[in-house]
Amino acid sequence: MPLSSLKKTASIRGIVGIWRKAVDLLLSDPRILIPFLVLAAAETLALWLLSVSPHFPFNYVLAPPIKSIWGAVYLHYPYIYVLLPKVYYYGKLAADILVGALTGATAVYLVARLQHREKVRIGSAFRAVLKHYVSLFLLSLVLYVGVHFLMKEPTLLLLKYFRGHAKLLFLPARFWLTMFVPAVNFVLAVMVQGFFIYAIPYIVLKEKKFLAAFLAGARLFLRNFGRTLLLVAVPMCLYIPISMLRSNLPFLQDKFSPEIAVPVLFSGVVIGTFLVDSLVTVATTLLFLEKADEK
Amino acid sequence: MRNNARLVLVGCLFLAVVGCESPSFKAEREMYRAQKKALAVYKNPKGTPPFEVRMAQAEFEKILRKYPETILATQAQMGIGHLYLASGEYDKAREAYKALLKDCEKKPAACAQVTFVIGQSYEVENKWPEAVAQYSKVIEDYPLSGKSVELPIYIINHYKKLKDDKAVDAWVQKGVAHYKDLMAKAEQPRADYALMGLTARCYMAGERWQDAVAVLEQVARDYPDLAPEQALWAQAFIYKRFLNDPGKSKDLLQRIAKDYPQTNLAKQAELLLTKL
Repeated sequence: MPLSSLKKTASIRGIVGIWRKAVDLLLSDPRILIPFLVLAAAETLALWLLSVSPHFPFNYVLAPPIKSIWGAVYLHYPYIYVLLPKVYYYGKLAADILVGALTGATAVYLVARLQHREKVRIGSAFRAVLKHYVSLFLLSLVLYVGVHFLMKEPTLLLLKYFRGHAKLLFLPARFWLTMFVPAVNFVLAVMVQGFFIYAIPYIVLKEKKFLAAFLAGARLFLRNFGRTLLLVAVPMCLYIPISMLRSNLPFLQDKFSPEIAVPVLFSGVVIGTFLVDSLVTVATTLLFLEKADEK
Repeated sequence: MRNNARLVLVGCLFLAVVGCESPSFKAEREMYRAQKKALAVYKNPKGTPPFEVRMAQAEFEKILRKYPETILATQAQMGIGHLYLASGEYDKAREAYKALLKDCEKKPAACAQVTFVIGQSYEVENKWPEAVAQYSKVIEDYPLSGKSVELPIYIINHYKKLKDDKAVDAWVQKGVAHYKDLMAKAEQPRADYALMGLTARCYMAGERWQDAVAVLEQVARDYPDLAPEQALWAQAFIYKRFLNDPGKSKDLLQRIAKDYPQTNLAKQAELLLTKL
């Protein structure tokens, strides 16, 4: 068997081993899921508050910004449910930056302690992580703001191109915007997350500051490029059905009811925040613990 | 203390489950559902079983009963009329519409809309003279409504399709007189400008190209602050397409390019001049 094939087989076996370890760890100590449950609760609260924004007493706080940014019509039925995915995107962004910075890091801390067979309490893990909140907050801010602007670029570039052209490489605009852009966005999301994913353990476990942690994390990502991509991309595939539901939301709302936006967005919380994030965080932390001290 | 916390929790849960929907939000939801049912009828009026039409009407009637004296009640009453119209019950449709002709002194725009819809119901029934009678009523009784200013052009276009040249001429004159009358009452230059534009469109609908060009020239001259290049552009188009005078059209395009070089039309005029 050639050397490259052997390396590939070993790498895939290594990935499967990490998955097995991650699932075992989650099953043996489900407390690791608590931080993700907290973030999911924060996102659910944001979703609920925004979906009841036209109603008393929430309208006192939430109606004025909606009215001035998007228009008064979006405080009426069914338009509030048309706006909900957009406004929830910003609500989730705020929850992920403010709360997600802490919960992800707490999970990383728990995984590291449990892996070293040390006793750990959620409260003490949370307090240990809280000391690094500024660095974690900055990291989340840069990550989410970066993703926010980066994800828009392919669509904007293609829209600009199709203003003056009917086809690109013999294919119409519809193909590029409905098939190509989601695929590019998926790859971009995986890549960006890969660059940032090891910065959290560097901050929490190695006590590095924001920039040093980011650079060390990026270096580790590039050294373990293929493995990290697989560890991030495979769980993220679970989110594809939710993405499809979300992109077809106007059709679903017309076919069933405008309120269907709420369960669809909530399923994104369950699958995305609770399932995908927990799997990605635990698996990449295990790889970090294995590789971080290697020279 | 613990009891208070429980009370707050129960209150929060109650809010979460029941919410504090305002009656108007509930009404909007009911209206949306009624309109969805009605839309299914409008899409396929001949293929819809009568009981489904009645069910859609019942939804509107429910809104009328539950939320009288609201804008939704007006929309529901209109919806009932539309459903009768879709199922070919024209007299019943007009009866439903006429129920909305109340307090017209206070709500002229709404009454103009209802009268217009009654006219449309006659038009759908192929009773054009009756339709024109309703449209004339809109023009005379509600001259300041949005419907009233568009209607002369609508009627001219209809007579053009019927190839009734006499009626076309008569309505061009009526339309121009109507706009002149409104101009006399208008207090703002922007309203004057819009009415001049409508006068030009009225002449254009009646294929009185020289009159249309004269009005457009007046617009370009009298309203230099309100995009005069658009009036010149319309003139250039008329000279080229309908008056068979490409020379005059070229002059006008050159005028746009020279006098209004910063506008989008100037760039298009220059492009056209290279092709002419």
